[in-house]
Amino acid sequence: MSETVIKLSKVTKRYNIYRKNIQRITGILFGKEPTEVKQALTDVTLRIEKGERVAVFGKMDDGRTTLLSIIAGIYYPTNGKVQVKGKINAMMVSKIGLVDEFTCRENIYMKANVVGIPKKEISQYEDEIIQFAEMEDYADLPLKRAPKGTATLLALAVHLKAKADILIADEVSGGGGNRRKEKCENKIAEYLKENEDMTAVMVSTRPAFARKVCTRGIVLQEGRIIYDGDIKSAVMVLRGENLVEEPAETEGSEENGDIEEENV
Amino acid sequence: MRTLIKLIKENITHRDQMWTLAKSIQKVKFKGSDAGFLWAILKPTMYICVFYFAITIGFKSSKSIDGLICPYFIWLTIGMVAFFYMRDMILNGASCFRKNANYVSKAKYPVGTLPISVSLSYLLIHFVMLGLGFVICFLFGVAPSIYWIQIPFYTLLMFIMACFWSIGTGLISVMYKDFYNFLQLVNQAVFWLSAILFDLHRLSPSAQKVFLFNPISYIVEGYRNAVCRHIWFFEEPLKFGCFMIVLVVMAAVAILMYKKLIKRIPDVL
Repeated sequence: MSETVIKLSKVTKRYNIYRKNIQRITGILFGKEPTEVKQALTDVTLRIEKGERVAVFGKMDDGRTTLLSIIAGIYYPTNGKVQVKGKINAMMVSKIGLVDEFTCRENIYMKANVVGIPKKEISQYEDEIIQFAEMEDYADLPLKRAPKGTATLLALAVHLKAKADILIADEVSGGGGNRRKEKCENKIAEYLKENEDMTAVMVSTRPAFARKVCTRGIVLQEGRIIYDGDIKSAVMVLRGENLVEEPAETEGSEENGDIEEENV
Repeated sequence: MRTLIKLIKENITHRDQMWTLAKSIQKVKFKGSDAGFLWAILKPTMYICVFYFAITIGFKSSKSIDGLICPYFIWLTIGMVAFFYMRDMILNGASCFRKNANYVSKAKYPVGTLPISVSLSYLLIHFVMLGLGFVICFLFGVAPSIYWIQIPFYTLLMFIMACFWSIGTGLISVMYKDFYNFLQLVNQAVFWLSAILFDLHRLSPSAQKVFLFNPISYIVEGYRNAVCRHIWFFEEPLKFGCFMIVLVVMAAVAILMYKKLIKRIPDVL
């Protein structure tokens, strides 16, 4: 019998915008009305079962990151209820915790600290991470001296060493060129294959990748779920809405246009 | 009370993350410079020396401190060592969430540990400065005494105060940026309003009453009483009581702010 691990009931998220700082603090403390309200999510109801792999699609400003952040427990909903069962590994922005002046090796530990992996534990994987992040020649040089994209690979490699039940990933293959993006995607795909019980919710602007690892797709539009079903149909809805174009799934796809750049 | 317990639990559960971040805050500051951590000590040391020369040679006023059992320079140094920590914490504590905005709004990080990490990171410098202060004591022939055991007690009070200060002002600074600018302004005045350079005992009784509610003065005096005057904290119950009132009020405000604002700050940062 399936077990629900993520349950969102009528979740709404509003960002209150205040013209002046003093209005914000009086607004919060004494309930004063904001100057403007930005509705990020509206009545989102969602159930995700254990082991499900869900891709979240949509345009920029449709609430994809907000939805993931709320599931991860980073943001709090304005209304509605969020129930999450299990430990979360949230990969939202790869650079968080990394310090340009620190060596790549030191940054492994910095990132591990953000993710919550003890020093002793991550030290076992140091060589593996260095190899994956292609920083053998830069391991003891400051991160700022390493090639572009190293930080993304390093962050991903560290994140995937965390013990968790739910993986939340927001466009983790963001930095670097197409080769690195594919490397990140393959790594995630391999990781999810190894951890069959793990639930995953991810935002990807590359539907080809989403279709490879996810079985279910959710399409968001202006903060509302307009489609929730199998991944193939979700991609079709996405195409129908002309939100994201999918790159050709050929070996030469690296050379094709970068979809992520069109959407972000 | 429930919020306070929750906050304490969060810090205990994530103590490794809290401690690693505390160390890295100082490491980041001095990374890339050859003298590194030494700068953290050189700057306040220079400060003490400048004031010593200005006061003893310039104003020739060192004889005005009553009841000292050590040289004036020790009195000045010990007080300033305590003050430097609190001065650092006024602004750095208030920016604990703002400076670590990514940890708050873009990562699943135990946000409640941030104020404690910042308070702890500056405590590391304080310990080095305190060590230096003790070395100066030995060089001036001031031997350790039983009264010195009060120093960890005052350090603990100072650290607790810094934590609550960081929680409260850190949250207000996120919501209201002008508050941080106001603190920058106040920070300049705190030095002169906290009896760091002059002896509190020489003030009129009514002026002394005002200082009863200045927690910075209490801690600075406490350090000095332990090393330079050999007075126990329980010998001055009124001062201790007033400090505790200020600390409890500060804690209550900080916890109230935490309860009201912690869920809102990711939206703002």
